[in-house]
Amino acid sequence: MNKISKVMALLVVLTFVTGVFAGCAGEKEDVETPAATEKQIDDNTTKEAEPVTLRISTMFGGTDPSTQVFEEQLVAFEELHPHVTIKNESMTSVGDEYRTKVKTDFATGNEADITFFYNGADVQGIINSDKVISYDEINEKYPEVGKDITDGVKDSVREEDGKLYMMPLTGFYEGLFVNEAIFEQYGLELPTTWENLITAIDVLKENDIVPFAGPIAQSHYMIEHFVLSQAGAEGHKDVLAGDEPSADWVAAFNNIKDLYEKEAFAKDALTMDIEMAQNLFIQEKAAMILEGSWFIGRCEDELKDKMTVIPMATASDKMDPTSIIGGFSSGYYVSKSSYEDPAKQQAVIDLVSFLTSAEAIKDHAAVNGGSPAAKVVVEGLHPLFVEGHAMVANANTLNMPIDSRLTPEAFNILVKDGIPFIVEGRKNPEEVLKATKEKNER
Amino acid sequence: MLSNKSKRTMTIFLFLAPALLFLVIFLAYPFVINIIDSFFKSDGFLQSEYIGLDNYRRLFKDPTIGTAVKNTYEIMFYVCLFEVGIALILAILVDNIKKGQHFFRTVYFFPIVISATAIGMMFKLFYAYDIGLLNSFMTMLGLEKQVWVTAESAVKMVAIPIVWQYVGFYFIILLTAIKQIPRDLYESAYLEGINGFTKTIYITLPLIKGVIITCLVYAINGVMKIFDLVLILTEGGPLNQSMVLGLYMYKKAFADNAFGYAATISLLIIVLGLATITIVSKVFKREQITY
Amino acid sequence: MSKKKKIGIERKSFNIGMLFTYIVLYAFSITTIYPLIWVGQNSFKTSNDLIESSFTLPTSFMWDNFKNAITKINIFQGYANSLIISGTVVIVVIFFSALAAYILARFEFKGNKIIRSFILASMLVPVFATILPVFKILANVGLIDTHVGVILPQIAGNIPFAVILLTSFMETVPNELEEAAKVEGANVWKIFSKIFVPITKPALATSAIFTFLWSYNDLFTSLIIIRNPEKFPVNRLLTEISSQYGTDYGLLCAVIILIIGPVLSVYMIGQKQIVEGMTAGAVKG
Repeated sequence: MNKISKVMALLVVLTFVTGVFAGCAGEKEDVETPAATEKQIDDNTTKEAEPVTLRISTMFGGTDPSTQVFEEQLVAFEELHPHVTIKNESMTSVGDEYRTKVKTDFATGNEADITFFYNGADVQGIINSDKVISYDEINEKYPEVGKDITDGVKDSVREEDGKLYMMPLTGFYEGLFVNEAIFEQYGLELPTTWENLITAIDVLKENDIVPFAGPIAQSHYMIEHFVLSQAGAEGHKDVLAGDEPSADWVAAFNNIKDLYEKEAFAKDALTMDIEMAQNLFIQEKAAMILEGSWFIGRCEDELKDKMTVIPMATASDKMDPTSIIGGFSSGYYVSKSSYEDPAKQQAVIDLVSFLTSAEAIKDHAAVNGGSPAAKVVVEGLHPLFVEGHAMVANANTLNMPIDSRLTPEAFNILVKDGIPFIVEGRKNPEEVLKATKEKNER
Repeated sequence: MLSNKSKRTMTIFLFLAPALLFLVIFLAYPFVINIIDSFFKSDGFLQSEYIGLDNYRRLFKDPTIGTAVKNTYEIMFYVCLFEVGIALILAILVDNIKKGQHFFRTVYFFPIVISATAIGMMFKLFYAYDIGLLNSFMTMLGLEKQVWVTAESAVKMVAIPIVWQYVGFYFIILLTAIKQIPRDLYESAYLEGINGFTKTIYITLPLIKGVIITCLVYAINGVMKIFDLVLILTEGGPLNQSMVLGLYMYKKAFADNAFGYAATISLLIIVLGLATITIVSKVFKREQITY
Repeated sequence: MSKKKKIGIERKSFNIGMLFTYIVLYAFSITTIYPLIWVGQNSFKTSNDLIESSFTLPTSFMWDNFKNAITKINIFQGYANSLIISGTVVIVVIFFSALAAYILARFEFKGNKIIRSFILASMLVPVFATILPVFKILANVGLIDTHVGVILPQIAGNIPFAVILLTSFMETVPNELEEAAKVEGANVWKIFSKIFVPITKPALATSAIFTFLWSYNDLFTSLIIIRNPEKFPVNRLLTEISSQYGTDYGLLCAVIILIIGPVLSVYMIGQKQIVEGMTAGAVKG
């Protein structure tokens, strides 16, 4: 889930809510007509057009361009619906605070009317306690809500009960980012196969370039891809299914250990965090890094020109060479209490429709480089983004990250109490996997 | 008219009530909830399930708890000895000088103002392999670069910024205490020929003993709650070797969403903290000192 | 205590001991000054320059980091909010703590020990162990997204520290002063306000400084409780920027300077008052 926090991580403080209650109320009659002609779905709204205040909570806070996009959307919406005042409670998603804030709000009945949040394990409690309404139910009355989002995307984010609670905007993907310039300099082939990878590591090491910017202490993306490359898409999915730890997963972890012993990672890989690993790659001291689509935004254009993104090298023939990790892991939720409040229902529906329209999704995709959830064409992207989208389009399989299928605690056992101990030879993969499984089932 | 005794009781009550009320509402009551939580498997928000003593069983089996307790006490040792110790020496020295008191009082205060997060980042850059200050020095001296934070050295490397940051804090408190000692006491001592080092041992130290103990109490309390600096600097790694209790609890609660277990750890923190403070106070036995 | 004017004890003129003292003191001051210089010099660098060479002086003054931090947010509103929150917290904490500390230090009564242990224990409670129930309390009384909602838990969080510190100082106040006042027929409030408050002024100032500092630097509470950016205290505002750009060390350094700047200036200005307070306390005592 970490990853998404980065995708969506945007920023800064909202300049705040434009209209004041009284102001809106006074104006309401003048604006009724234009609003009604603008959009059909507004018909019911404008008839009563009582002033409404809606609270929206998102991760679009901070200095990232996406924040601006979002803020502009809110302003545009308020112009269209002058009787609605929006209180924007967005904040950055870095760290665990946003998550804590959203959960605290739901737990205490203080939830916003519309919340942009993760799916999977994070939202489970909220769904179980019946605090958000499913779009299936909304669509019965308002079929146009979220109509621009493709069915495939919707199906991919349905919860276990088969219902759709979240409308995503953009998706992410992960892959192996390679500094092609360095590879060309040493006459190396792209690491599409394990042999190529090993050759590259040997040559790069000799030339004092860190082959792999891999943070052992925060090995989320490494775990993901080494398992995928060894176990293939199916094996990657069945998290700890059998009684005994899967041989493929064990082999995958041993692959990490092998590379560690080959000194494929930086000298201080054991203590380095993701940011430091990124810096190694950004400064071109390292030639490869496993990262997500959001990473592109961190690189200067000059570096982007030298980069390419490919699926992880295949370690066994179980992996289809086009397989990647990716998906949609956050989106808009509608609070049940707000939907059921007759005074708010129409306004909530209007706002969520507006924010999940093809136009709105396109704006987000244009700034965060993720793959849009609706069929839209995003122009003006750097070729590296386009390459990434092509990689997604060509992928025969697209798996959600492992942590979407594990409890946060169980996944952290892999990351914190697992990989570092395995590479140092203090634990073997089997016992780590057993401990993970145990924690996941408790 | 109230009797003297009930008037006294009334006074005690009225003076204590406001402070205690705050503590009960915002610390004690939430903490009782915390104790209840420790019997549940809870994500802290919406889902919880009664699991009896499971969290406690887990606490005793958890190898990371063992490491964290050991590290917490190791850091506590450094903190009591060096943090409070250096602060005491500096305070006595500054009290003795005539010029520059103002200067030292100001500059020793600097690190406290910088947040733990920033200090953590700074030391991370000091220790970093590629670009760090320490390795820049090594290269300058023509030596091999070192990996500074290893499984073996991690606790000590984490303890350094902790100790360093709060020296100024205890320095200010201890200096305040020394300054509060009536000067005529020193004067009469001076007339009796007691001065310099002996003055410190026989007059200053005994008189500020209560405040020194208070400093130790703060130091122990601070160590039990450390989390942000370690979170930034090493995240408790490598191999959990620099994990401390405060950080472990924080991570269980907010990274793992295991609030029930986190509540159990916070109980452990309080129990260990109280026990340690009691022992330390006993060892330095409090006596009422009057001038 | 006597009313001798001058406190100084004649010291011998400069000697080896003094020299050594100064060497030690200056040596330690380097370790506290340098990091500040480090942060300062790096606030003028781009993130890449900083990573390349964070220990050299900046070649030119690049104000972009500061511009970035200031133009994107309403920093002055932030300072004002911080002042409202932390100022209130300091006043309430110091007043209530002084009252409680006076009783704990000077009155023998049943329960004194228990209350002390209770206060000690409450100091050990980590803030993240109480935040959920506290949030529920505040939500029930409608204090979410208000300054008061941040102020109340912060007061509670700072009281134990202040009470313990003030108690240990008030315990050292000579008995005879109190006795003399009692003979003159002063009531408890008079003794407290006319004798104990003036004498412990340095300790009150010290705890006020630290309370202010902790309240000012406390991010967690305002993060959870305040929603409206107009009400953010300054460090909350700046964290919004710096947390996203965690890897933009240059911006981060500028942010640190913006956060600590006001506190340091207040401390330096207040220094004089505090030093005088200390001396005054000592003489009066």
